[in-house]
Amino acid sequence: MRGHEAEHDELKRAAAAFAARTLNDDVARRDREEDVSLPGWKACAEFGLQGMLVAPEYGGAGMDLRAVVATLEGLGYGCRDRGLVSSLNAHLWGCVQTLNDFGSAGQKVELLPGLVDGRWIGANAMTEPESGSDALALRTRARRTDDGYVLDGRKCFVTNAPAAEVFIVYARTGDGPAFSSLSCFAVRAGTPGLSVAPPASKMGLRTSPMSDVFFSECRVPSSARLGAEGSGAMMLMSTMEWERSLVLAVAVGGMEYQLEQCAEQVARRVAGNHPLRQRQAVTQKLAEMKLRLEAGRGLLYRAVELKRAGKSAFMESMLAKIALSEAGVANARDAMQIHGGYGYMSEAGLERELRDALGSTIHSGATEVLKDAVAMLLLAGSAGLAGRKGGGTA
Amino acid sequence: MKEQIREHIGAAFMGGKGAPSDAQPLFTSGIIDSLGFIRLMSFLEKTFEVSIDVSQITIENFDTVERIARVVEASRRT
Repeated sequence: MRGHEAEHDELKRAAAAFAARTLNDDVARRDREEDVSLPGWKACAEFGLQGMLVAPEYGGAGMDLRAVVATLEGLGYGCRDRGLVSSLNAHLWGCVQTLNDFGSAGQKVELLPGLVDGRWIGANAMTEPESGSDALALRTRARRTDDGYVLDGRKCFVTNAPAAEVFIVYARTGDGPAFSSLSCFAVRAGTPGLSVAPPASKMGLRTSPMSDVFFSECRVPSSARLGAEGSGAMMLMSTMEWERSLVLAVAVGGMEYQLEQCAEQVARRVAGNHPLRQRQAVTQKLAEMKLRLEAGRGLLYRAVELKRAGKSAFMESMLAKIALSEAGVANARDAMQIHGGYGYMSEAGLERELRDALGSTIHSGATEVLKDAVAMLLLAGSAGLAGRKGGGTA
Repeated sequence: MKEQIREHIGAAFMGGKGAPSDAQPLFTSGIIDSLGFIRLMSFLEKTFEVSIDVSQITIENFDTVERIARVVEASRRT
């Protein structure tokens, strides 16, 4: 995928302009006060972001993946509210796309329109206190009854939970091996037995609400189950593949903007009678930022092309996620350093970008766990070894 | 095709000591786990040059050699 076609460039520009014009008001205060921008969310829906992946019959635009990536890059370029973007990503990849892939016709009719038009926010309730990147170790149970299921358990670090209407929930429905014993449900807010804790305070992405979700004798009808019973782990892996492939497409745009700002700073700034542009220790940072950005972009595009072709992209999605998340942190760190004392000031916004970027090396699979999974796949493939058991990393 | 699938599963997931029968459970028995699923999908896509629709990816469709072969055959036709 060599760059975007002209129409995709236009989508990128339009998304960047929309974001810069609409989503950045008061972001510093909202970050300080952990103030979630519902007007921003609605504006994104009006622009069409929540419906990019959804078929027109459910209110969406049914965009091609390359167009989606271009739009997300533009959003990242223009939007300084990374928390809002994080919420949008959780909504798209953890909820909307899961319904796209595994929802029945009835579930799509019931749930997608509200998720597309901005009325509803989606959340993915997967992580638990005892299972993070090792998602298959989850303990939430869904006990079958005559007409549905009863859910019991606790999910943590659920992005969007305090504001969500639709929760995609993974729970254990069987007692066999983890990979064939999980199921997936779409549970509506307000369902008796579902409760949401108050929002948690975070280091970064502070305008994206997050909290724990509790299920206590939470009864759901059979119609709330997505796909076949026992296929939840496969669905979860598919969801994670989408998320890891695309959650940081916005970071590509964000790093482009950040690098431009840094290049301008280095080009114009004179410190102690020495132009920064003549200091190799500084200029080399620009090159390193560019290298990280483009390496991550390449891996993103590779994963996207596989998804476009309907192929699995598990390895590629993990590589893209590792590269872009680590690049985001390193580049944010360099951006702050390049700007010197001013970079450390809250007013510059660079420290907020670093705080926001740090979460990305943890969510959607921590870097260490993903590297372990990549290595295991390489070892198993190169030696033709039998698949190792245990460590059910999704 | 079924024999290729059987042979691959035996070599990759059963230590090369035998191969599964047509109806032997693979995922529900724990022979193949989550990482194994990734490797199996990669094998099927590359060997048979197919894209398997996500709607077909269920435990039921992938739990035996027989059913995997059926899914791959159906994917070839689409």
